[in-house]
Amino acid sequence: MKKTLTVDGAQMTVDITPADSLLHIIRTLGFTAPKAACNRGECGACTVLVGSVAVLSCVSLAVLVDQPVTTAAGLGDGDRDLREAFADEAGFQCGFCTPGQVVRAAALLRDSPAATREDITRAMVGNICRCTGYVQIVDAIAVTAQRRRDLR
Amino acid sequence: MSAVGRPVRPLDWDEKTSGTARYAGDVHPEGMLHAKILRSTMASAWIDHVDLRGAREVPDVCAVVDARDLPGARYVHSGGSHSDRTPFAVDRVRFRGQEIAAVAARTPEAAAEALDRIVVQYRRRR
Repeated sequence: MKKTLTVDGAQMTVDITPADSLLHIIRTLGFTAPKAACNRGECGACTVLVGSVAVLSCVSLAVLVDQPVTTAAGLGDGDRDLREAFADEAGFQCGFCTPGQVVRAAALLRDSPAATREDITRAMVGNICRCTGYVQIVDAIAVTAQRRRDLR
Repeated sequence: MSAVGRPVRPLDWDEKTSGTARYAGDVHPEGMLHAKILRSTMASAWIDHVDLRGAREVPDVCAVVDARDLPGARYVHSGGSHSDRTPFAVDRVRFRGQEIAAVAARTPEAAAEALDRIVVQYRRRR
């Protein structure tokens, strides 16, 4: 069946089957920022925005997606400070989970600008990282949240 | 020496945080095949027979191999405790998950289908 998807601002019509995951379809289209790791909604490496909501694309059916999809590569300048904070706070090493972490964090900071460290920890619980030990990831998000609050 | 004594961002921070860094799974060179490994479902058993014929008939399957294709092979290159291991189980399996056969195919789906068609005849050890 034909399905029209908008990914990182590019609209395209693709042939899909009802069982295809959103992750499979967008990676096949060449959008490789979201990663296929566990493929069963346990690790968060496939996190993308559908509309403004962070979802696990590996357990989302492409056929049900009607709003624009945004991967880490499509976040844009508004989240550059967040990405820089991941770099400055050592929020990644191998970087494989990072596109998912950044997308989840971007959605959190948009939904909850007043997020506390505890809020951040709770929101990021579904994004697994085997390198950092998580403290640096929470640091990066907390620093970004504080800087954005200071700018207001 | 401008980096000494101050924090420095990783050279690839932009690629890694934006998801444009390329990992093995993001690369699909021309002619790439997909491999899958059939593993023992038994913790300890004799292998009476492994029938690979069904797997070889699956379209897009390029190769199906088991211990018979690697006579005498050992993981000598890895050294230490693995150096006496065979790449595939020979005549018997000694742990659940031991490698029995491997498939290479043009698609992951074909490789999975081929694994399903491999018939392993185990005999329990008494």
